[in-house]
Amino acid sequence: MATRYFGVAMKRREDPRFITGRGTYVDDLALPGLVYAAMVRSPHAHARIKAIHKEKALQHPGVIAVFTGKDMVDSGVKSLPCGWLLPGMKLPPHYPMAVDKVRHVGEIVAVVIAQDRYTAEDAAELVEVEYEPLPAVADGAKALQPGAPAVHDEAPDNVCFRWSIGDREKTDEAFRRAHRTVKVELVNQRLIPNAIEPRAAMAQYNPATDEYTLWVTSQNPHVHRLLLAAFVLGIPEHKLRVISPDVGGGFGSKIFVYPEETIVTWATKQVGRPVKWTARRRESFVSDAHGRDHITEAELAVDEKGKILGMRVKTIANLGAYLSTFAPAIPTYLYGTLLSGQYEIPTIYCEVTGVFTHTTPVDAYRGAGRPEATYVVERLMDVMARELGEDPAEFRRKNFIPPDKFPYQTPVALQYDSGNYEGALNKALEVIRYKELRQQQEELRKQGRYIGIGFSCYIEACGIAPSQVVGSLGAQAGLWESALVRVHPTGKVTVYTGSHTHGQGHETAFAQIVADELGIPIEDVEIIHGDTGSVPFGMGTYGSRSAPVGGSAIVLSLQKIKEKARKIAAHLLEAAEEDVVFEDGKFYVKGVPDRFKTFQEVALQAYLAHNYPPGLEPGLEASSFYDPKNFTFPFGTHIAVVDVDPETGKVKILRYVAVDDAGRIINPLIAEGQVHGGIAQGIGQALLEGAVYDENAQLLSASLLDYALPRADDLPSFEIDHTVTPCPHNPLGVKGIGETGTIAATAAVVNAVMDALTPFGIRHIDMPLTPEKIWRAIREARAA
Amino acid sequence: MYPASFNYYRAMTLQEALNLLRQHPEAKVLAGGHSLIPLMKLRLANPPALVDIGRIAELKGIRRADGTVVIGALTTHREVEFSEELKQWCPLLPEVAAHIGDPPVRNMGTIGGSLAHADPAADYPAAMLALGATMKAVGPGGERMIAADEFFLGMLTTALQPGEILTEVHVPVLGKGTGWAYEKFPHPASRYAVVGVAVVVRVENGICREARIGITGAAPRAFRATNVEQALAGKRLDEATVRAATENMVSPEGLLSDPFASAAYRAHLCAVLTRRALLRAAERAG
Amino acid sequence: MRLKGSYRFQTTIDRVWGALMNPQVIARLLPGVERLEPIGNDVYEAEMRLGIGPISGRYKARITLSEIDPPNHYRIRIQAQGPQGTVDARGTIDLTADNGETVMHYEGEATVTGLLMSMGARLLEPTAQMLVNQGLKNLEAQLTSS
Repeated sequence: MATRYFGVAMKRREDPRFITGRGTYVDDLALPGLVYAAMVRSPHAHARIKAIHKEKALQHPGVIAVFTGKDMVDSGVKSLPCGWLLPGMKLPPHYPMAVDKVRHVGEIVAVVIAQDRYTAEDAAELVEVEYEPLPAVADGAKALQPGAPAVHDEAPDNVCFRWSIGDREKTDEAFRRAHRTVKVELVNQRLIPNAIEPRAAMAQYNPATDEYTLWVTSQNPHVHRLLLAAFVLGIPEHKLRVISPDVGGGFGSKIFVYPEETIVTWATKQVGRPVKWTARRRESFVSDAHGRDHITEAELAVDEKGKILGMRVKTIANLGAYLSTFAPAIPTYLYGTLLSGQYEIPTIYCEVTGVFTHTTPVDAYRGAGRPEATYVVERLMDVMARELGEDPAEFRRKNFIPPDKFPYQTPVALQYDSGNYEGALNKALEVIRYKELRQQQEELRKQGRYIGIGFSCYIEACGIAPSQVVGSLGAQAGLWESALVRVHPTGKVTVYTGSHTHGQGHETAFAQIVADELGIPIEDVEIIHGDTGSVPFGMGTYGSRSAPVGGSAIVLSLQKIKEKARKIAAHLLEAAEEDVVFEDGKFYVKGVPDRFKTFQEVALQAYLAHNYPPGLEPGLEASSFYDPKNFTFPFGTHIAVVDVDPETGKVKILRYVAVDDAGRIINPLIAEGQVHGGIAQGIGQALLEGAVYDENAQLLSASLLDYALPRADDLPSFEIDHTVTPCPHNPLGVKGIGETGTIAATAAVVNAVMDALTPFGIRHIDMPLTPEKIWRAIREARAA
Repeated sequence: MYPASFNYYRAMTLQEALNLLRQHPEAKVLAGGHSLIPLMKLRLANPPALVDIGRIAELKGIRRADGTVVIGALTTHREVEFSEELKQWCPLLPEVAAHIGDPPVRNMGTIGGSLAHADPAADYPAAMLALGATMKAVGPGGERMIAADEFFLGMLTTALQPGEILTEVHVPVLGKGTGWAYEKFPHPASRYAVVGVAVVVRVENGICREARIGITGAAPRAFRATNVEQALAGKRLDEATVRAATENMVSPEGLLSDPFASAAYRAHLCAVLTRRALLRAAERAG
Repeated sequence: MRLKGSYRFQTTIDRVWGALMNPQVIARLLPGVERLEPIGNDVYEAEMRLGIGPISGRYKARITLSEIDPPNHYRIRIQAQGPQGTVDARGTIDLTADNGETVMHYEGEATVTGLLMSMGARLLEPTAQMLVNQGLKNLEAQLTSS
């Protein structure tokens, strides 16, 4: 099959409508009789709700209704479910609106429904809530201390779960025998996602058919439908249609079932009008699921040759006030299992305590657990290399898993299928001109200038996930993907994919796959996603799964299509099936290429069925559900070069090189865009971002005035390269690349800054590496 | 968020604007709106009415009157940034304007609006102090000139009285032997000045005759570093002198503090940026 | 947020104490106090408009006095609520007589929630200090005029 589209850097078909303002986002939608919802949110982090007075709000002209948590619970609405359960974990309820208590700043206590947005917001200010403020705690470690205020009665010590992986005795033994050990205390700070499109939901109820339609900014509309219908609102699943149209970025924050869409779907039946809610950015800050927030004690042990003997990690993972939909999995199975990194480590032991605090719930955010793991591993590698006086690149190389050891079973459950770590490292070292750079660093130091070189040799596990594996680990759902491929009589093709695109460019990338496999023009292929009314059940898009899992499901369906088409073609060519060849969109008998039937002719015949194989059903469409056999394991080496101004502590990134191996690449333009975005977010965490709560659990960084997202002028031009080690277990050989940038970049930049500060003898500084933090560290080091 | 309801009045002349303000004492003046509207959208400011002065022709324009440049209050930051006249007569201002916000903000924001709003982290106040500028205010009692040193009273508080409108900014023409510079350390999120230092120096035969240093961002209001100014008078503006004069020039006490930058760090930045600004200004003075 | 400081009044400790205990005087300490009335023993309710520059808000406040030890000391708690957030301020006022003059020492801390905290945190302390200074100057003016 000649490849015409796969691997081509084509421009995305989605983009013209996005960049000319013709995308259809939830907030763009309107329905006759539409009314608007505004949420009344708690200003307190922890308080008892004594009373809610609706009268003033109800009297405001244009207000249609005011509802509270009690109204919802009284009408039978249940708690928002948690989709990943760990043994022994506490499972306190999470109602869409607070009933007796609020447990984080921003928790919803009432909803006002009014004729227009402005009235709704004015009236929301008129709802009077009597609170009895209670002590609150925001920090994960503080929440575990005796006497800390409890978030839930069910968990008086604020512990949600205790989880561990690896062999504790074996690891302790390795540390006892070790020639050298290092210990680092690391904070992986809380991040606030900030997709450019804020969350929104619009719901409509049709009393004639008893059907609901919900438009929502979701990365996984079917998941929303199942959870809302069956678990929360108690309505039949087939009576709820969820549509997720154009969505402006998710990064994980739009996976979860949130209070707002629940409220809006429930309220539309109460008021008998369609109801819309769109988040204000200020609301997004306190209501979108936050990311990261780990406090970790990590240790590494090596022998006299500098080979790693073991790793020990203890993490406190802040879950926030309530369990978000996938929260328990992120700091456990998506974290602890990645601690082997690219290295041959005989034994690892990791312990994680999941903690409740009076803060916004925490869940997956680009990388989801893997950036946290990579940060731990790569900081340990750097600190140990420095301790041993070894070059950080060579220390890593010495400990890589050699290529002949694959498939490689790590001591933390994952088995890596393939890898070529030295290949990526060598390429990166070449691009950065490492030897010269080190010499340059020496010379500049003499001039009082401090540049630093930081490595991040990362591995990640994505393409989630094999259903049996995750089921045994506590997932309450499978993680396969669906694809319905429908060929139309004229040979045009519509693919209904369970994946969702909200920036990933699937409408283009998937079309490239289909056009290649069927040998048809790409203009003849349409990709449909996001509507539970037309797309078979799918698990959605996150965890870099859409190419490996979603794409593979499409390939399975395409194979079924091709098989049936071949039968029809054989019949039309009056030949035996085994003698028919399919190439470049044409079926012909082996050796007789001039006598052919085009794919389009075969498709037409499938629907006319005038000249047709007996016993074969007419039509040409196929549905598949693909369950991946394993995770995929993209890997690579990123190198950051920074310049630190010792007077102000300001960091400038001079160069950033990324060499990634994500298997085969469908569209290099899209892949590069993914890497760019991921690196930007990784740099954001290293230098700029960080949610700040004060000692009363008030969110201080509550707007873009204080929360610093990376901008173009904060970043250098990235130097992107690839190695290609195809994934051995899916038909496309792809691994997924959406999160690699975020997973690698944070460690690369932090390691670079610490490398720059080596002359001052500074061992570690926690992120974000703000100018003041660096200035203080230098000052303290000089004073000592 | 959406602002609370307000009435909107548009004035086409200065007199009309003054009348409207007299009729509606609670009203706020609207020029470029890029300080006021964000506050209104957060509902931190809820004026019952806005008097839009953005179309008043007499408030626009840049002209020279002998040794003074007269800048109309409605001159946008972008106009200041690209003004050929100002680059010739008072080049400190285009340099400062280029640091304000971002291009969309500079297209809308005005010099009069920025000064009247007196955000503790705005850029212009430092420049006005360094230039020894004067502001012209017109109100029900007539017109008056207010020196920059007397203009900035506190956080978001100026010497403007209720009902007064800032109409012109008068800055000196910077002649031969004058050096100038603006050094800004921006907040990574808001890009407001964590500390911004504007410097104007007059040098004769290599000796500093006069230095004026205006600092913004560090304190609740912009202030002059008079101790440094005095330490430099009559001396050469070389590295050693400047370093000695700026060392510990400001105490952290009374300085602003937020999660990004503590008062102690701001005090340190004052010294670093003042030194850098003075050395650049000295070079320009020739 | 923490605040503390001292102020010297050029009048006797009894007059300063008398003024502090007089709701009419207190009501005029800050511009924007629209209503101040006792609702119980040493408990007052107030409605006021406070702000600096364009930022202002209307607050309902409950003021509670305790540990009243005339003319030396009392403890004050102000719980204010407005659409922009809430303030819970607790502090102490101590007066010392000094040769016909009075030195007042005040110390307190406040918990702030809502928009004030999330948007205005860096402005809070300077604003609070400004309001306190304004109030003290006002008190001085009222003492000298009467």
